[in-house]
Amino acid sequence: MSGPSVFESFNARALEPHQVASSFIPSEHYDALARRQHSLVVGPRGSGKTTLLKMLQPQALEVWRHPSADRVRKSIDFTGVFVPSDITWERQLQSLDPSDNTRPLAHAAFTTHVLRALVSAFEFRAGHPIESGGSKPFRRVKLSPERQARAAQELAGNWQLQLSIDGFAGVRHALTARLAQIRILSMGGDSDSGSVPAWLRLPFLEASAMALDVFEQATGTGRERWALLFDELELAPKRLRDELFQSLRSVEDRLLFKLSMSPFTKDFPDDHLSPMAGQDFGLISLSYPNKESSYEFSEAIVQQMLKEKGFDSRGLSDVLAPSILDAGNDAKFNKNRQRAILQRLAKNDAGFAEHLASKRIDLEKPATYSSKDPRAIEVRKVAHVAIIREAFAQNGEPRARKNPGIYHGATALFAIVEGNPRWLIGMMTELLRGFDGAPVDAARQSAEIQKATNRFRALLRTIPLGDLPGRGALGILDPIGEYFKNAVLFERFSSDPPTTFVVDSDANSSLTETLGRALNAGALVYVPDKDSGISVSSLRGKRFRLSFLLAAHYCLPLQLGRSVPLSRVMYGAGRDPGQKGLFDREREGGDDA
Amino acid sequence: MRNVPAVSPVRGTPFDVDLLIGSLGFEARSRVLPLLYASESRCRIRLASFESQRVLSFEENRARLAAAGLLVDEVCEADFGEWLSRAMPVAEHRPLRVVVDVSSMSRYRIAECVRFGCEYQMPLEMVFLYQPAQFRHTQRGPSTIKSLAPVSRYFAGLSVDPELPLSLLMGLGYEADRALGVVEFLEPATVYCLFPRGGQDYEDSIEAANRDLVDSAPLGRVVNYEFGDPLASFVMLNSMVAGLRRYSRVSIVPFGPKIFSVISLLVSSLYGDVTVWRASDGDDVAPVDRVADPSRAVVGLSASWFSSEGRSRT
Repeated sequence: MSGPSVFESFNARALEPHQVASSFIPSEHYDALARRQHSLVVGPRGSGKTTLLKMLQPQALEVWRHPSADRVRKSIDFTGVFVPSDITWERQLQSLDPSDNTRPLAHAAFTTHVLRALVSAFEFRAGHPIESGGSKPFRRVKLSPERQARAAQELAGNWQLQLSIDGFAGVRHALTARLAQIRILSMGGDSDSGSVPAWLRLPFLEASAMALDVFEQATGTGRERWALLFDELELAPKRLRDELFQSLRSVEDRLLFKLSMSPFTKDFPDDHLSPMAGQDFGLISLSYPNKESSYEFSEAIVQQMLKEKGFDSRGLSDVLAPSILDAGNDAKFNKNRQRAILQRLAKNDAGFAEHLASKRIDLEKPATYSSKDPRAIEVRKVAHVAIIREAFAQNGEPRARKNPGIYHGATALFAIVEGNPRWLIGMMTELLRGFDGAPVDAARQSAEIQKATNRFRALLRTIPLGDLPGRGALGILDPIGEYFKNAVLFERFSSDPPTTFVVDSDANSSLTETLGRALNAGALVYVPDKDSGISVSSLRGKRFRLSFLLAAHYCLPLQLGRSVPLSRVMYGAGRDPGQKGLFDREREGGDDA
Repeated sequence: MRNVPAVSPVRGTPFDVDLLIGSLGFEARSRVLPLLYASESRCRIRLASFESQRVLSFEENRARLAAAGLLVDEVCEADFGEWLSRAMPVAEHRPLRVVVDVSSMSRYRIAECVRFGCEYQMPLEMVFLYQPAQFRHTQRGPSTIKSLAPVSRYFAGLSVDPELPLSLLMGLGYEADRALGVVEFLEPATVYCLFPRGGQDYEDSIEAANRDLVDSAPLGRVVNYEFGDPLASFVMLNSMVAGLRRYSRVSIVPFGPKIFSVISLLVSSLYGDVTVWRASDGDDVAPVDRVADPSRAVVGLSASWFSSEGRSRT
């Protein structure tokens, strides 16, 4: 695995399919995505959406050598066609159409992009050389050059292309030339004298379905299944996005749609005609409100990274010098170091001392409580918060400590990366630089976590406000973080201080949209009720916590705490009274965000 | 039809020109070149003001320009291109020669000037001049961004191969961690930082504002360019773009001195698929007055279109 720094960030978007496959570790999410059904993958940045989609491509499946690879290849009975997207491409599409919108250039560019991806898949299946060294051909077909040339001519005729090269490669080149033509049209140049080319309005779904007919006829494969894999759906033009989303209700058995998107999309269709998760499509969430759910996957990634460095049979706890938070799993109470911290806190913090007394816990006694003793259970429950409190506060005031050495060690790191492969790999790549088997010391770990946090905050600051008032994502997150920090460190000791919030029902759309952007960036994590699904359009009434990547910045525990209404957080932080405007919900018809 | 420019160096401030295009803004330096040309040249001078931020030196600038007999048009951003077209005189039998003072011009307006050059169907030379400011340690901390988008439709480009990875050429400026944030936001596969050299105070300030980004840079990923030699910087940037375009999509984010924006736009205009970005500040960013530094020479770069040196690309 590579990806040393922000200069060459680990982003599956930039990787070829075989590169993605070389280090891919399957998960339950991948198994769910590989099923023969429409799918919607939802997760914040870096959560692995693009990787999962790319791993459905034949190019990736053929070279994948994981122990599960054969099983997966047998189970996938469709051909995945990956349609990439990113912010740069999205902004370019947005810039294409003149304001009078008489020529739908963005739609044409998007269609051309999809058809190129489809033809690339045809090319691969019908003629790409099979990689040596253990590749397992996946859904390959035999197609003579003559039949391919005829099929290409038919595609060109239907899509109004001029071919200068035979075969599917020629179609792909012609589609590339079409994108260049669209660029010229957008600049006011016109190959014809002002006429609008008919192909500008070519509908991509119909055009794709027609292409599949041509391919099946040429190859004699019969009716096959294909999956169009659309990445970053929230970046697509709205009309296309709506069309794709409605496709999730499609009963066309030949075409599957597997879409990825961020958790919050402002204009996500949420009416009774919209596709329904569980009925029309499978909904896959790549967020982990409970941190432990991500540990197994994260550990597998780390083990693979260590194996590549020649350290087999090692895990994260072997690599990182532990912190006090790593002592939390032992059933015995007498963990001396942790106990010493709690004793110190009890001496200096009347509230903590009273809490212990109320539970009949005497930390001075040398006796060992059994693990099932209610007092031991209570100590385990409060230890995490107490450790944080002791590290950063004294007598209700902040301690003058730059780095008390809390946020490091395997337990902390796994929580902090939130199961986000990009964060994990980015951090581990730095920590493993020069690794010789000796555990990485606490100072270096803390430094890397600090760097990652700084980068993350720089990103949050950069998320464009657009027309939203206020100070952007951090303008909302910082007051929330400070409120929780105050509750954890400086208010009277509580065994369950608030570290989550619920968005009030009267929160206005400016606030919810800002929260949504923070959610999409991964700065907030949705904490669903047991029976509720993931949130994609409506944040009101939903519960959230701050990402643990921000925990060190705000001196917060790496665990879920009780929730408070967001309005209390914003008012209670003593911030700008103007923040009350965030809860004056505008009268917007149909707005449920 | 779109023309590509031929770029050449500029020495000093050429006065044998037909027109000067400048700005009335809140920076004291925005009046320097217009007043100089009013006294030393017989060219027409057309100045455009901004709709907002009429603070700091704005009123003094307006008074001094009025005293010199210079008129200012109130022009909103959206109308600047049209205003520019109307401002252009007709030059018969010779190329039109226009000075564009970019010192206090918005990046959008600079882009419109370059676009005008690319689309103008007569021979045209634009001399882009930049008046360096006195260094002022403004302690500009992290701030919000209102929008991050291509500087204009013309410079959005369109990649004909969107599957290619993205290479980002990131100009460094004073705003703390802003370049880092943009890199994180755009998620490029490859990043090169472009560091303006030309004054220790400035360099220290830029380094401090971009410490996290610069410190983590692998060897060769921080590329210096000489602020005082725009032609060499143009050649360097064009060379980088030409090389990177062979296997990636290329975007340029020209934070830093405005002359670097000019260079970026001129390079982009040579191709059709290189995006030049602009980040506009949020409302929490206070304007800063910049005073001309008399000890530093005006920096300039000339671009000629449809001349004996230029060539038509499409």
